[in-house]
Amino acid sequence: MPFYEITYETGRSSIASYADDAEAESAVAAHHARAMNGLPGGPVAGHPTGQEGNPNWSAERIAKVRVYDKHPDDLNPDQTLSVEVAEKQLSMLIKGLADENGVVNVARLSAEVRGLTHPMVTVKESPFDSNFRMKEKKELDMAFLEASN
Amino acid sequence: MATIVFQPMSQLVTDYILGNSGTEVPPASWTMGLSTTVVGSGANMMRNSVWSVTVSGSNVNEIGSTTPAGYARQTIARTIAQGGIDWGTSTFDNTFSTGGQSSAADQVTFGAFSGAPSPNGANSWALTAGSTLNAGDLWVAADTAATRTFANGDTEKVTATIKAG
Repeated sequence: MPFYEITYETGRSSIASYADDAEAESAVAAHHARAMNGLPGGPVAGHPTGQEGNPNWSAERIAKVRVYDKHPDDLNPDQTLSVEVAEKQLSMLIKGLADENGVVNVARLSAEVRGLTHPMVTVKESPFDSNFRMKEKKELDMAFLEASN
Repeated sequence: MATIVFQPMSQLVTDYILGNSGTEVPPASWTMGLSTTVVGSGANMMRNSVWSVTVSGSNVNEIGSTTPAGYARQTIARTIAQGGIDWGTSTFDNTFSTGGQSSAADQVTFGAFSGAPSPNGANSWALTAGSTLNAGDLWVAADTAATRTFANGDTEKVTATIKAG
């Protein structure tokens, strides 16, 4: 089952799992239509006012939908690297962290090494950029939103 | 609102942080899931609870495992105050009985749902690992303010705050 990274006009994003693009477009269009009409973004019934923020948060217009064959969190869940890549990355990190005396802080190096298999990006040039390092399979043509309004 | 810290998180502190052991290690990233199970006060979730599709005993059951209808786990990066969805700069509360160091994650959004997931009705959120539903380590969980039942076009927002005290 494919996964979809939905990017809202607010810059927020979510990951959703749908059977296919048609189901994705239906759900995205329904939420987008709520936003266009100033309607709540989630279920209101049974949600006490004043808890967990605003229970009646508005729906958000949707700017982009990226499609992945698997959850983009699954970039490298086992946190492994080939020896060749590990040696290259370690060398770069050591050089980058070394001070003017040629000394490396091992605790800092350890933290940077743990980040090598992280599935998410740490810097986004645009709020509409993906949150993930995994390359998407494709983007949905957002023309369906126009057709649904 | 009831909360619980599960055994893997406790072992992460004793073994990984205190003892530098690799027996229990942090995941590549944190993920958040929604559960039909109430945290409760010992009769529902327990410290040794595990994810399971079987609703029985202290098992923790995830929404959308039969029919996702748009449900998927959301990822929280293992970083602090970077560009994506991650943890905020931590703050310290010096209160003797309830204080400690706390950090709020960026708000995550679930959905948009394409209809009713099965099972439906989130009673808690859980910090976990991996993207496979009803699987992965459980770290902490907290009750939602009310049962959240999802339908076509819905999203759900959760802001996790972790306090270590």
